[in-house]
Amino acid sequence: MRNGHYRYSIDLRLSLASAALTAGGAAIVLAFIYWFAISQPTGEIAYTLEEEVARLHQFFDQEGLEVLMEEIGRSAAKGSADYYALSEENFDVVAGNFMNWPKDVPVDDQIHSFSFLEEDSGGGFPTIHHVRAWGHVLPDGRKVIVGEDVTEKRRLEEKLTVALWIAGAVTIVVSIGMGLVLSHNLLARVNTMNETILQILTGRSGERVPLSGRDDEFEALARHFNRMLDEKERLVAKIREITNDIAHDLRTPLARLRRHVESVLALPLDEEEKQETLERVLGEADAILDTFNALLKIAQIESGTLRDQMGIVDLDAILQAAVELYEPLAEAEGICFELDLTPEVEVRGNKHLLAQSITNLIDNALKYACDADCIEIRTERLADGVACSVRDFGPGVPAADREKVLDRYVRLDSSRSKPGTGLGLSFVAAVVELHGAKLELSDAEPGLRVRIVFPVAPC
Amino acid sequence: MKLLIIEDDPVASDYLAKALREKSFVVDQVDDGMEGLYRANNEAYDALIVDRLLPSLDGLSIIETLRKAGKDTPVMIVSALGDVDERVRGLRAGGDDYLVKPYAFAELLARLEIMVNRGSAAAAAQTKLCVADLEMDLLTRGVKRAGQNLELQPREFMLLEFLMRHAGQVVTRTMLLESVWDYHFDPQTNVIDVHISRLRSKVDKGFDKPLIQTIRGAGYSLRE
Repeated sequence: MRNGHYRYSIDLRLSLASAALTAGGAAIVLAFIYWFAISQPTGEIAYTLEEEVARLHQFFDQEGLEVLMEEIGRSAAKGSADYYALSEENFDVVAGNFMNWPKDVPVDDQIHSFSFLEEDSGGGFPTIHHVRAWGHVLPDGRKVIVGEDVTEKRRLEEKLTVALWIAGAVTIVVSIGMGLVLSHNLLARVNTMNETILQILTGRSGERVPLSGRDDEFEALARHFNRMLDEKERLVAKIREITNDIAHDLRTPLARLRRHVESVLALPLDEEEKQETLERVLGEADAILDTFNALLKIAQIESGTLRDQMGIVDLDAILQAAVELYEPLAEAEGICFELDLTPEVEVRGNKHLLAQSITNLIDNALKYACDADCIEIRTERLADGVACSVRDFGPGVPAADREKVLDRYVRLDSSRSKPGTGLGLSFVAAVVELHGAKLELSDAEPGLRVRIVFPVAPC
Repeated sequence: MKLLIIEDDPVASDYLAKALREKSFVVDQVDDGMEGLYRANNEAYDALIVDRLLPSLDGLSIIETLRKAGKDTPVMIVSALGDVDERVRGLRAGGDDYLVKPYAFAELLARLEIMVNRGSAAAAAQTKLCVADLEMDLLTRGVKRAGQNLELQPREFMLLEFLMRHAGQVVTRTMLLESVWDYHFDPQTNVIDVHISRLRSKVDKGFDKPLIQTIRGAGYSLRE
């Protein structure tokens, strides 16, 4: 497949198709013209001649030879046909104006075409006449002949036929030409796209198919293709990010685990110390697995593989269940929950992911809340959607850090003393994006308000 | 109790078999799907532990085939495929429980015990649960101990109900999260422990025998 020259190029196919269609159409038209102008009239002549012969035969039957001869004489002067003749069996003409029936043409009640030369009395060249004639044998052996001079008609016929052939040829040539021009035009755009795409695929991944600004199908194709390329790059970047995260986050606990095992092998520990070390090993292994699972889950969410497992979810029920889970723990720390739920707030989503997100948010709020604080949980109906929020009265997140907090591992300095992998909020961010919703972190003055705004749910 | 393990990872299989034998189970091990199906079909086992990804025939197909043949042996599916939807697939294929690898042996053991001793339909139709002097009326949603009414919040009631339905058996924190909250993730805190603590203060405090016991390294159990 060379650039721009394909074996079954649409260029060629379009042109040929266009030519074929036009030629076909032209052929039909030309054939009609031929039929109308030539075939049909010729048929009419035959009919007229036959009629005349029948009429003359009738005369003979009814009136006899003498009257027939008269009639022939009269017809020759002003009858509907050009030539009338009555002859003996031996072709000697006894009446009429036609002397030139060729000896070799049969007289058999059928139409025949032939020609004869007319001498020019002035000494010039003889003129050729073309005749279509009907010959009929009377009961007594004599012959009646009626004929049409078709010389002019023949000439016209020939001219017309030539004209039709020329017209046909011109039509084909023009249509092929037009087809080529049109398809070439069309294909120029396609070929440009093809070339650009090939370049992008073979290395220049930052490029995009150029857009011409015209609002047509090719434009749409180009736009969609560019979007696909954007998506591809996004995913590639994601993979890179995730690989880095995994490497970073698993290396430390793996190293620790290894050290523990080494210590059991190398150091003279007693049974109790060994037991303790092995329990630590188990702890590290569990921590690694948890981190791995969390990263994997976030990766799946971000890459959109979970997009098709959605249903209608009752937000109130999710928030209620989460609060009920954390309530005893909160109470033990002197923290209370304040619920402000709007009934029948439903969204389209994945209830498991949403449940886990809410518990993450509540978990975070509990970490930063203090004795005698409250955590406010609210759902509300907005003009363009539905929102749920978790608000604590803790130190809050400084405006400058709010973006950062959603990144994988960021834990602000003030929180380094508390346990947790720091993946909680980035999990929530991934889930929020999967749902087409928005995650807002704002200063609740005091405290942090985390709000998830869902677009309008389907009814 | 006779168990069949269908697992192609020899290390995992051996470790599990050894641990189960320690707990007095008779354990057969098989590392191939087709062979596992054959043995499960032709021998009497109290339960099967089946890995999903197996050579020659995968775990779910084994279960589906067994179910179609009318075999209702309890099956514990074990798999690295941990999505909730994979779990649903496993249970729909006919599995009785689904455990995500890697799991703690204590978790598997607790679930295995519950799975194998699963009561008949009669148990599900019960309207009253009783353990010692603790009575739970499922119709009125009322709980009494030694004749005294106990005031329980809805979730506390559900927790107690689960413990009572599995009286005598080990119930893990994961099981409680799954059955009472339908959560298939680990909230990473000791939330359940605090719930049990509260429940104890209502159910055990002030009565002569503590019924809610802590089983170290595994979970909890309601027993005399």
